[in-house]
Amino acid sequence: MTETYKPEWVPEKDDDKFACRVMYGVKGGHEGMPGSNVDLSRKSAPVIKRSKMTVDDYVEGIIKGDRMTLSRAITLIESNAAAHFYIAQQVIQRLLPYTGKSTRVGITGVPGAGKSTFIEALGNQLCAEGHRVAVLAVDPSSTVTKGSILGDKTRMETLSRQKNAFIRPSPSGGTLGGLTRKSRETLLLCEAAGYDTILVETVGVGQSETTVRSMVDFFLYVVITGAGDELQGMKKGVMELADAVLINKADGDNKRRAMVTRAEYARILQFLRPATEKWETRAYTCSSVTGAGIPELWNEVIMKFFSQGKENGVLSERRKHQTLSWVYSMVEEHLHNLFYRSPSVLACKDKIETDVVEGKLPPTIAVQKLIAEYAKTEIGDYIKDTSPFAIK
Amino acid sequence: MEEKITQIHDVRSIVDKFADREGRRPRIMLANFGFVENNHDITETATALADMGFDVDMEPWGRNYIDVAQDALDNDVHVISVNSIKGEYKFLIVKLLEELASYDREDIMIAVSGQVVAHSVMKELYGSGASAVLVNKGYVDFAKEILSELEIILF
Repeated sequence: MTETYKPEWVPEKDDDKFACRVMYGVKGGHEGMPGSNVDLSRKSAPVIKRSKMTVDDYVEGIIKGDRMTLSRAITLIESNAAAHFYIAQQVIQRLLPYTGKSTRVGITGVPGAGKSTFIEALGNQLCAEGHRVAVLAVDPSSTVTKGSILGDKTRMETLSRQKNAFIRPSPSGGTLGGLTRKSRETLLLCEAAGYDTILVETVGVGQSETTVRSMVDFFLYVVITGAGDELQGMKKGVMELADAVLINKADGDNKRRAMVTRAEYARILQFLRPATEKWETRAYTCSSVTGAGIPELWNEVIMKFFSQGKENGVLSERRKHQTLSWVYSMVEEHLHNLFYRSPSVLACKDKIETDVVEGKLPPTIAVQKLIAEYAKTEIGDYIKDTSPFAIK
Repeated sequence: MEEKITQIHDVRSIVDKFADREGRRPRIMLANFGFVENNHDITETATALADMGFDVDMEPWGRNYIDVAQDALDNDVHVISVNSIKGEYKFLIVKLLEELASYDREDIMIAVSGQVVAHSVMKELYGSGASAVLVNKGYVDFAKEILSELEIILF
């Protein structure tokens, strides 16, 4: 029986003469009712903390080809925290002897060109042939909020189910500095873990194409069919980096237009310098949906590129150049961090900024002041404390 | 409106502090179970969280919980958030936690970002192991809940 109580207008002594009773109202917590009487106290299970891994854990796991260690190692590489950087560099150093054995292909193109569908089709084919494929995708982050939406697995559904494929989308973190080092080191980790084909995909934001070009052996530029006018507006700078231009979506009604576009590109490519010595950059068509043209592209174009490149030494020359440019891009990143994290610069930065904005200090003088402040620091001690490479 | 804007700035600064300590932004995977492919709720949640500074991984529709757990491990996310128009959240939470436990990665949290959650069921969701539930809060409070739980797990 639900509880009842007497209403307030019932006099105390004549209580039994009045039959009226009031029922208690429904308390909140039901559908559509305001208020909550739900007890939101925490879970019954104890909280499990994230385990810490040592350098040995990472190295052994990756050599064995363990996927989870690879995934955590990539997180370590991508981390911006200083403590993680030190451990990450040790891991890379110890894994360097295991790297260098894979086929590295970079893929770029405008959004909507169908890169992800193409990668899925190519990746599925390679997995069927027994390769182990790693796909690294760099998605741009917002420079304002620094968050990002990484949707690559939605576009590579069947490939993400393959046991021999590893897909890892990475946010670019709002700045493109440091992108070179991190993407390159991720590539090395995948190689050490036993993936023999690495596909690096980028949208083509900012300098990301030159970044990817400096990491891969073969660079593919994916385009869609277009009329003559559109071709004039394409990024010629990127075309000069490409080893092949691929016209996608050559299926159904679009087939004829794809052929025409291919001829247009072939014409333009004749006037551009090839990206790789002794290799002619040409245009090809394919359909990622039907799969037409993809086996030919892989076997006749890309594999030929690699066998030719190994024979005449072009590939190893290029990798040497790439390693050197990696060294210098890390030098730049290091200098960048040294400056922006230097305590004396941080101390005087705000004052100089206000002066410049209010017009009291010309920008060029502000630059001199900032650098003078930086140079005043005892650079020697500062490096000793922060750099893992310095001799202690 | 003003209050909402300051709330968003607040949560962004909490996320920034987290990112400075952890070295990366908090990474959440939004999984789409249930039978609707174009789930607008998920897109909305993804945009809201990305605006607050999260890195959001969007899972394709129609994956089962085993595949979702594997994807979450490949991407090394901090949180998996389940969304299902059918509302079978307790099942999903328990099963996902089992999968993660078999890989020894129970440090990955489960959250529920679906909108079809009966109020009376919320307590059971927390009891089954969810760390954060979106319904009846705003996105801002949801984000704060996730971040405070992450603090315990990571630091």
